[in-house]
Amino acid sequence: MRILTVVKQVPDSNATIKVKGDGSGIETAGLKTVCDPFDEFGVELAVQTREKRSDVDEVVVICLGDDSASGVLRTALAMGADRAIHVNDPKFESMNELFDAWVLAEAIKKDEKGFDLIVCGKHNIDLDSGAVGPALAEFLNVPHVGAVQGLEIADDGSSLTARRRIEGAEEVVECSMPALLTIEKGLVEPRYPSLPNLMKAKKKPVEVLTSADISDADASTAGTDLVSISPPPPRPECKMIEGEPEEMARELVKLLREEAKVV
Amino acid sequence: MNPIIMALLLAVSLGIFAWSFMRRWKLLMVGSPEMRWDNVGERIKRTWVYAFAQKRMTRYTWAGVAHRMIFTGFMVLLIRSLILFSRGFIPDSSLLLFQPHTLLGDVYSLLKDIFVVLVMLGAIVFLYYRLVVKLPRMTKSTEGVIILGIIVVMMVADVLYDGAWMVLHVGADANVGFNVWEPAGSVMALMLQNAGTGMLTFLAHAGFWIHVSLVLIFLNVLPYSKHFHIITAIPNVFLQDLNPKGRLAPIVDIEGKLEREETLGIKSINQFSWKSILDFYTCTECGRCSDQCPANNTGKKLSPKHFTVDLRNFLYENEKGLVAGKNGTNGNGTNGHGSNGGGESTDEGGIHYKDLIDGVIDPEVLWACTTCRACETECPVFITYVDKIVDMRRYLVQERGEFPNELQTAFRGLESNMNPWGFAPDERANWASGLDVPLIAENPEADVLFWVGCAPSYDDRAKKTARATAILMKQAGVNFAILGPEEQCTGDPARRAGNEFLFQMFAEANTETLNGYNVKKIVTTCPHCYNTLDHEYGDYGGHYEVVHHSDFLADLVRSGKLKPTQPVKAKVVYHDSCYLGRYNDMYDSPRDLLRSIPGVTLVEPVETRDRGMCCGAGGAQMFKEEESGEERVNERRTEQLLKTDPNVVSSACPFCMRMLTDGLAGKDREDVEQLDIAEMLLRSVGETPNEATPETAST
Ligand code: SF4
Ligand code: SF4
Repeated sequence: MRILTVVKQVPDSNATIKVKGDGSGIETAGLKTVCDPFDEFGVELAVQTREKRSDVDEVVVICLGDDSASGVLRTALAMGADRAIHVNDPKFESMNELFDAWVLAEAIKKDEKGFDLIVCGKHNIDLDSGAVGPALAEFLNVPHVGAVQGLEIADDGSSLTARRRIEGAEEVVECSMPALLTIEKGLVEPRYPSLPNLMKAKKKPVEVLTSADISDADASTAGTDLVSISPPPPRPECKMIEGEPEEMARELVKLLREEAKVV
Repeated sequence: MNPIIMALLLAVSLGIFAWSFMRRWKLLMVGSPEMRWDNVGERIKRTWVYAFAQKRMTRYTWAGVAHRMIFTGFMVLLIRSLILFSRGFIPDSSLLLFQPHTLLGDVYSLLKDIFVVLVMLGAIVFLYYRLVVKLPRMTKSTEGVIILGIIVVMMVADVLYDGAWMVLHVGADANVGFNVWEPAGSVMALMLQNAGTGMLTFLAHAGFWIHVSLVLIFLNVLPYSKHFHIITAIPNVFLQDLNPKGRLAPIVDIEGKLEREETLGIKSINQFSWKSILDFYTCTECGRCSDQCPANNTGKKLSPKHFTVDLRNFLYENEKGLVAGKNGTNGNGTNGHGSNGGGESTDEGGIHYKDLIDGVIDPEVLWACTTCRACETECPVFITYVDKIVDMRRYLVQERGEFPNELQTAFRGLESNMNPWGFAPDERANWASGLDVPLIAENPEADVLFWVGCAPSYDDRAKKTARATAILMKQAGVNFAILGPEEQCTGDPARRAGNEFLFQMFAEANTETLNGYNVKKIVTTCPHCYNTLDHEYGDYGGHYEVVHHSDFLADLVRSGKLKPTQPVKAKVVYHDSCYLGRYNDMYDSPRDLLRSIPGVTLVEPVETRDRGMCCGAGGAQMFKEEESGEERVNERRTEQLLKTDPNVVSSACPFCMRMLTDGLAGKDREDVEQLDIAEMLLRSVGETPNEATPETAST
């Protein structure tokens, strides 16, 4: 069995995001980036699957991103992936997750042996469309189960049973393999790579693919156009009311009536 | 007395002892190298104070007194034993120095008789503790009782020998009488004066041979029992770590070690240094360490005594393999006194090199330690635990990647945002909003750098301490500045959690920043930052004058720059932070500061100063769930403080503050205020309006 895991470099969830003046994107200079936490669940799942089963030949990690994204691949390799594919070309830079999925699919198709299991995060915390996984499954023409929280793979590796929580119930899905899964929080806890593994990761092979390798890269194939990005409106000032409980209540009613105009 | 028997006895027993000693020596050499013979003068001084004068013993009063009687007695009686051995060959020998009716001889025999009695009394006190009181801190063992029994019999035999000998040698018509120079012997003589010559000869011989043989048996039992400390304690005190108490030795050349596939931290027993092995030999199992350990006292799996004893037992059980394996290996040295990552011999395989985590020391034991140093402050023979526990954590974290899951959040927060909570680095100075505190980039001429630290920068409660301190410094006219977003965590939580690699990244980054601004003097409100900046950054080229705000503010009050004039009517109990008190001996300035405030009545809990119990947050506990036990450390500490019936619990550490605030809330005692010493002082000095309330809008 061969497992592929898809990772993306995203801004740290606590980083302060600054939008570019022209609204075309965000400032990346000095921005703290990390491996998308949901994608990390995918890497962990792949590595755990290899640890549990004897029939996993290879865990490969793929990432679409610029040079700085190689750090994300190192993390995945340190966590236990065997080798990496880095799809890196300025032509592939986009804010369009459907296009990303298309590029990834083309890159994956170049691998002759093919993958039995492809895992991605449920969504990425940057653009948050949740489209990469399902779209990739479409382009690769394999079945897809989204937001997986429980998983069993048949002993012979021909099918899997996945559990996913839906509004008020749990859904159990059976699916033939090859298949693509997107992973929800709670299925696995990503490991903290040990230092020796970080060192070993430096020696693991990373294959770089560019637009020269992926022919006919055509942005119009699919997707959405990003029109503009703007920061959310600043949070209004908080007003603290002080004094005796009665005074505070009186003041609160007054403010609700006169300033907020809700009563 | 028979010289042949004496010669045989000495030859056999000294021979066996020499053999045992060599065994222990070879096993000691299995440990990794470490330098412990610098600064001999200081070592001699400490050996005098702690080994000979037994300074720490009387922290437990009666046991201490009893032990001093026995210890000093043994020193005095050493000469007596030599005299007796020589009498095996030369009758009536007194080693040419201690002849009866000479001044030296008489004084010595008086001293000897006094100590014979005192040693006996001391041993009886210990027997009473073991058999009657059954002190829980001690290990109940027959070994302990037998040894004490031997001591008592040895003393009785000595007096018996003296008494019988006196009666036999008194002239035919003279009577034995009480002799002030030989009080014990002569009283025994009086009791025996009517016995027949045969009986007396028998008693004299029996007393002599019993005493002599017991001394030799005792000597041979030592290396195989906890009483080995009689031999190893003095060297162990002499060879103690002279570095500042709070400094952990760095792992030198982490990258190189990784390249060479050497272990980071301690995985197997031979990776402990020879000095650690001497520690294991020396443990007397007195249990003082565990008796003071907050983890042990709240039902966690950790007991420092058992930690030491378990490692010792494993070491002894695997003596053969370890000593044999030593020959085929080359220990790789550590720099300075680094206690770490030495003798690499796991390639040998073999059970003796096994991973200590697998069955010798439960990881829960390691993760329960708050690094409070209560144990190390107590241990009469200077055994250390924090360094060993952290070394084992280093292996767990860096090699196995195994640690309590919550720590991963802290590590990742540190890695990506330079603080364990993962707050945005560019919001680091938000605590100061509206206070007009300059960044050092704007005020490079500042006399003092205010090192704020992560908790006072981001934690809403601790921010108030930072604000109070800044306001006070401004009022006193101190020319200070902060690093703001350029400040990063000191790395203390990472280091104490075993993530040495991460710590070193912070140490390098911060010293670079500080040296870049040519910082000379640093003030901080956090004892953990204080300890790291003062004692640990030197290894990374950071040498600063670091002052804790308790000292700094106390000085400002003393010099009249701050005038606490407004009365603050409160009964205040001060909680000692481990990293301030036990780590840095700062007990008085925070108290002086509180006392300088009119209206404050300062009260002390029973557990105070160096016996003050930990709040439970140190050693990265702040960033993980407490290990399972019967009670939470902060709850126990809060109870102790509440017994003084205070209106205010005051502290001088942001982590203590957090733990005690939680403790008070858990007991529904929000009526008791929890205030940092700076906040207390600010109340008395008075603040300009609207300055001390932090803006609620930030983070
Ligand atoms: S440092 Fe504190 S918690 Fe750790 S073993 Fe010693 S006494 Fe116990
Ligand atoms: S380590 Fe020290 S304090 Fe603890 S039992 Fe041993 S000798 Fe006593």
